[in-house]
Amino acid sequence: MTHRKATIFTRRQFLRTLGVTAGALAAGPALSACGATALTAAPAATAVPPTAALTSVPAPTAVPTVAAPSLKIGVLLPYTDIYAALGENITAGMEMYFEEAGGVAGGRTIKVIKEDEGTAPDKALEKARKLVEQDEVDFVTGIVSSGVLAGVRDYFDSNKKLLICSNAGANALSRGAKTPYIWRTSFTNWQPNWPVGTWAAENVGKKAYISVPDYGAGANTITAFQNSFEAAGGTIIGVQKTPFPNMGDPAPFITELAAANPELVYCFYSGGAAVTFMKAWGELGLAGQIPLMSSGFMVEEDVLPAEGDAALGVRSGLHWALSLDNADNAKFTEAYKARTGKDANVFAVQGYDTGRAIVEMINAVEGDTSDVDALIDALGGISFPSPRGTFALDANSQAPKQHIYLREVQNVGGALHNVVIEDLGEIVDPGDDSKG
Amino acid sequence: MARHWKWAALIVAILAAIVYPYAVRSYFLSLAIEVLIYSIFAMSLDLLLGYTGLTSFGHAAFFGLGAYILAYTALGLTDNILVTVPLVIIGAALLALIIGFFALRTSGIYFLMVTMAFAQMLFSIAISWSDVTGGSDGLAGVPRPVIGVGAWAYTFDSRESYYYLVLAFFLLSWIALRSIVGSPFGAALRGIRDNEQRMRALGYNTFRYKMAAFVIGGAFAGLAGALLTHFTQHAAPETLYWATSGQVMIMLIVGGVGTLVGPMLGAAVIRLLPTFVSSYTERWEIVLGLVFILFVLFAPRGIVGLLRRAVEKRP
Repeated sequence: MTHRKATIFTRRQFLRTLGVTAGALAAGPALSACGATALTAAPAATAVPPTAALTSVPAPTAVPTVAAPSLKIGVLLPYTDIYAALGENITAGMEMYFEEAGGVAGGRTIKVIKEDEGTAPDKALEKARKLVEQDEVDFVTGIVSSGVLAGVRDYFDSNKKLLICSNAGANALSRGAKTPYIWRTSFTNWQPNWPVGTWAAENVGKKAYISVPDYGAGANTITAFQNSFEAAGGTIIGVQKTPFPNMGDPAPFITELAAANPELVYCFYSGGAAVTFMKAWGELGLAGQIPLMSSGFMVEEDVLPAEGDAALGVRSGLHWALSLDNADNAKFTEAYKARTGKDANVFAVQGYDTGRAIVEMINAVEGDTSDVDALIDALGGISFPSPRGTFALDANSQAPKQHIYLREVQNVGGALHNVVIEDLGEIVDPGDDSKG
Repeated sequence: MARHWKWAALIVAILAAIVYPYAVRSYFLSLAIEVLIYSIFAMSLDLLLGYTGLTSFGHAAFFGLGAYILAYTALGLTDNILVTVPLVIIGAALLALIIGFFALRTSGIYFLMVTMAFAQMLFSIAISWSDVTGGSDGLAGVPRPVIGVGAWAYTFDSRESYYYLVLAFFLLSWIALRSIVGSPFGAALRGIRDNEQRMRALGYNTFRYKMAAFVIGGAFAGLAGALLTHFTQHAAPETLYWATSGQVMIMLIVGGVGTLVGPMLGAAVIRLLPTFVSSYTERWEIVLGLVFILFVLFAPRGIVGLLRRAVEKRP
């Protein structure tokens, strides 16, 4: 008897083990699905729309004003890894505007659902799917990395879901890879570089050396600057592509630049790479010796304090500057500093404008997000005063038509800031590769 | 008797996997597809790490190469998996042959460094050679696969159909790897893992055995990369990055090294945990880090080890 009992026992245990293993394998996602839905208080696993649940609980006739379902905005921005700071700034700017608008758009309460973009396109795509299919957001905004943007493009295109991109600047998304469902409230990589090429040839020198990281945005920078610089009579005497994402020790690259004896150096680095490059530039004694010009991100307010005096005198083009003289900018920069304790930067501005663009878009369709084409029409037609001047979108490139400002890093009251020295006019991406 | 239960459980699991698409929402179907793909990837590394004792930290090389070969042929030549999958497997196997030729002359930490260096080299090429690889943006617009020819062609364009395709590849890979590790060849690999010198003394040409394992592992990793690319419709340089090699190694550690079920469980946990944790906190990496630490401290043999211990401890 005891022997038989023992065998039954082990068999049962064995079954249980295998059952757990197989169950976890096959039904793991399903089980966690139940957990997730219960925690987020979303409708039960079947596809019951949230409106049905809301209206069926109270007697429909008894309540005179049934509150509209909240507007669910999926926010896909990096909160980890190298772009985390950018994601935080964009989020802070956007949430600041939503609060100013009273948390309401088109009569619907704004509900933000955040997901981490990270840096890997396949994981970001999974997050996009989660926002669209699981959270059933009305549309998605965010995306800092151009690599991620390229990775999620087909998903939004084939599912006809609106993505309002608040940073990634890859030219292709306004050109060859354009889709009606992805609009940008930020910039195209071409925009801040192209007008600076002309200005540099006319005001600084005719022999330029370009140094950029070896990836998509670097390539976009080269073609844009080269196109207008050469058109204005300049010559590119060399192009240097440094390893991406980690350039390592920048000294050999900077030595190469100095040895070529250019009349100016034009570069594009951002984040940690910008700080590394700029510090080495100063340590090698080139600050103030060779005129350094760049895309505005290299000396933007987020990296400037870390770069220090080496950045003094660097001139750059960008669609915004802290010192930009307009009433909206004054109000925005003050409110942002009061809220976060830090100076505003261009990413915060992009977040703020994205927030406003969303609210204006939803107001224009009176809260009805069911028709994506109507939503896109509304988005294309909005225009409002922004910290960067006027915010309006170009229907062709599906990116802002905006002024680019030539700025110089100066010591303003003991701290380094960008001071606008010239307005280079309204710059609109050509929507093709005709201008670099 | 236990054998019967094992078969019953297996059949139940397969049936559950077959009806799964009808039971869940599309988002969970896409998660399941990713888990199955990463399971193939993790199992392929376990053949090296768990069964042969080769600590490869460059397994992303084969995964990423598979992704790029598939994207390149599917975009330019054909999206028929009867052509693309053999090409991917041959390409990944050839790469494994080349890397293995150099790397397998070293062992331990040196092997780890050499394999990582090769993978990083490929990553650099993917980033720099933008005419072919699309640079940092990768290759986008990869179509869903087609099978058959002419009137007999079938496109896996719905997510459900693609799930079944991946499930089929997963089961085939699992059966293949199971028979490999269960064969005398697999026994020789385990012998090499436990005591390579003794195996050599017994007359085994251990270099050849290790090379064979390395090539087989590389081929399956390439297959996984190709399946992922068809699913995300995009080949990205990140598939070649060292972080991808690290991630698959963590899947093994969490799931349980030296088994084939372990990598599957690890892939499921590592792929699904961040998805759910990150919905509740932006600091999801801390939670993930704590989970890893707990596993290393209290469950060095992973989930499979925990389950085994639970069974053995019972009276």
